[in-house]
Amino acid sequence: MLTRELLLFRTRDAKLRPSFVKREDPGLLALAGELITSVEAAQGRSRDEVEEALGLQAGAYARPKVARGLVKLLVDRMRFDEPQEGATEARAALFQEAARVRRALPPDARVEEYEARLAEAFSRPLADLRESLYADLPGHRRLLDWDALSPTQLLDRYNLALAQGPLFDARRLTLRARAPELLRVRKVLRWLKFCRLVAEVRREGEDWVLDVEGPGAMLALQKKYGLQLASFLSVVPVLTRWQLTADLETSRRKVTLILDEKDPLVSPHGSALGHIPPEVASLAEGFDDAEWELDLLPLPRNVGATGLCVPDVTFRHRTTRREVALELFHAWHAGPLARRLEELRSRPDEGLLLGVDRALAKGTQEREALEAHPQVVLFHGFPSAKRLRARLSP
Amino acid sequence: MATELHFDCGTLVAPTLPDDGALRGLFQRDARTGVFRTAARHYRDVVLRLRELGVPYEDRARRFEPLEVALTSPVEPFPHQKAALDAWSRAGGRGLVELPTGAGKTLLAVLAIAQVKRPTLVVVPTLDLMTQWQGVLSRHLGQPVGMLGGGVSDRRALTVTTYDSAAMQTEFHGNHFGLLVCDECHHLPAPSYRFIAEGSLAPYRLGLTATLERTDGGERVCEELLGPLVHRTDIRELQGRYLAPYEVRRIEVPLTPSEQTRHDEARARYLAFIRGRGIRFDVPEGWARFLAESQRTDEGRAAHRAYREQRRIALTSSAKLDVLWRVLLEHREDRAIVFTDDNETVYTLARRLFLPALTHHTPVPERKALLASFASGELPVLLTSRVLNEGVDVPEARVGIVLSGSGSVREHVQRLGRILRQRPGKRALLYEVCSAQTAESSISERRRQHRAYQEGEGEAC
Repeated sequence: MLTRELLLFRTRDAKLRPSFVKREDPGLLALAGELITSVEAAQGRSRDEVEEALGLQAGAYARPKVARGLVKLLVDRMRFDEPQEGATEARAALFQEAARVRRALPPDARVEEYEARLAEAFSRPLADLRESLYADLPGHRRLLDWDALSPTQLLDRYNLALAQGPLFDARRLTLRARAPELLRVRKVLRWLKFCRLVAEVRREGEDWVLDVEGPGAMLALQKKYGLQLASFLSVVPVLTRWQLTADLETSRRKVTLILDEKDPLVSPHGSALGHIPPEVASLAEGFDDAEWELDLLPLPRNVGATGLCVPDVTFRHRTTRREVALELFHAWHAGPLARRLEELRSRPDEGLLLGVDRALAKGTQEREALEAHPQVVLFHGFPSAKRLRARLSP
Repeated sequence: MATELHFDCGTLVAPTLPDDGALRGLFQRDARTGVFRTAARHYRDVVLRLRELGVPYEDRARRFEPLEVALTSPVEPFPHQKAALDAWSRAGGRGLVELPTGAGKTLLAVLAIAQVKRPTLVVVPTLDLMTQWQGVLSRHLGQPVGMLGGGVSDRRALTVTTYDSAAMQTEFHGNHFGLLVCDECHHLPAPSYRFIAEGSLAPYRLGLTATLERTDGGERVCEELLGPLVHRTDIRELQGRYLAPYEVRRIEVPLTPSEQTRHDEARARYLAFIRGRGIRFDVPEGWARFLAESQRTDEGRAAHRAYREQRRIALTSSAKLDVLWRVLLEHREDRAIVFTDDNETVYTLARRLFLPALTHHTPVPERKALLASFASGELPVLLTSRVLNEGVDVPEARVGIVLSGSGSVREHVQRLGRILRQRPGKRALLYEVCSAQTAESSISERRRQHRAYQEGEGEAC
């Protein structure tokens, strides 16, 4: 992330636009490459030295604020060594000896006399002692390694950080995903949950619209959630076509941040989107009939007092339009299953079925309880279309 | 079905509510999730109302129970401490107490914890205060005390944390404490810190400060979040009886001719730059503008270097070093704290004179060891920048030496407070050393605009 003074943006007609850099700008790519080369060559040097050297390189660039932003992102990826064991104890012993020498001085002693007596008391020269006295300060620690990236990736991170910065002052944001692919929107929804945000999610034709806020945003507890909203933004570029707006409230003015897929934003969360398991595809085929249709892009559901569930599929009756969502719990989902059952107790949701792997019902008591639960379908491997169809029929 | 209360990221949530106007007035319907939601701080009012209505409810929000805690040995509070505790109790265990530095605010909190017997979160501004509170609480209450902050993550029934850590973590632990104590609570109104009190369920709240009044009227936020001002004792009521008598000595030192020349040249260079560009430091963006413009040209970079140079000369002149050395030798039998404005000066002096330094870089265990050695007299001098300004209890300190500082009256009064803890026969001395004919002189005049300074003023040497 970039600190406030490193953010660059323009405001016109109450609209805020981050001053994105061109990711193919040869000058910037060259600078990014030089900075990265400097970092790689700086291994073993102290933090102060590394930061000073990078700072000088940044200062010489035509747009020093952009360069300082790149430096900040690089420094955030560096790992420095830990202080040597015993440094604190050695320092304490040295200070104690110096205090003893000071106490023994005559009342009119000069600093030079103090230094002379210290030189007698210590086995090492005072200059050496001074040099090493605070070698363990953060600025003196040595660069061990860093999370490497390419010049283009550095510019991508910079652009993303420019867009994330203003969101620290945001209370909410609205994201419209235009006709998204199934796996892309699922990745966004999972990230939403991971960021502990609350969203009103609706489908408008082929589009998905997410109004994303912090849980306490409606109570004006908005400041807390800026960081979470900024984290959420990092996944948005996995969508192919999208638009995001956020209302920003600073002490002096109200402005709106508007971003879309034409902006040079790249998600750092990789291109892996997961996949649709063949069992789910097969299930969809099993329900491809006149009575029910299967929706592989179901809306998230709020469960219990505070939970959010992203169902695996939703069954929709073609005639009545009645909907039943199915959430699957596999053998490694014992904790989430217990939580979901508890949430259903506190806030019943008849439109949700839980598919539970029998491996989660090892004890007789657990099995009986799950078998008796009106919203649970037990399965081995994967629930069959036949069992589900039986449960869906009233 | 009984009403259920849940805690969710600093908010209090109820899936359903009884049909009661007062209760529903406390909550908002959250259309996003279909539940009722309110700030966690309303928990006490909600529970009291549910009890009043006599309706069944299930409390799944609270993650604390009454705590078996008592004083390890009897404590006889000072009259002003007893008056404050009584007033706070009468206010239902909520409210603010304003007491001068050194008047025993920490002990007042210990008494409050022993009285309400609830898991307690104490929020403090600095890591040093965190370790200090940990020591005092464990000594008086005989319980292990956890810490959150400074690289330590150890939550216990009694926990001390910093404002920064609490602001980040209230959404996770805001339902684990029944009593919230905000030390130096004048920090709480900052926008990023308010959530600490807003997002906490704690039905009991205590705000402690020596200087509640803020120029922005933030004290009203403290009252809203922690309760009304229930007690206040002025420094003059305690002076000489519960706080040590004190004397302030101001020493103006000249620069050497060579220092003065270099200082004046550097100052002229940077002043020419800011005047030439119409930069003014008396407007909010002045400093940021100077920083930005000084990075754009060689002339600007030279002006920035000149600014730092003239400042460095004024802060660490050889005459200042001489005065510091003389004062330290004169007070060899006393404990002395040396205050400077920045870490660079602290470490320069530490290396020059082999004196221990305490800054925000000092790791927590070393901070504890340094303060213990200072208390025992093993290390009778501590160099610091700003980390000891507030709250840290160094009762043995008799001498304060301000080598440099900001123009803030609050900072200066807090520094004075470090040496006012009473000890039999103690008379505190605050030296203020500033370079003559530099910007320091006017900064010094600004920060002395407080009655505490004017009343304790002694002869200048």
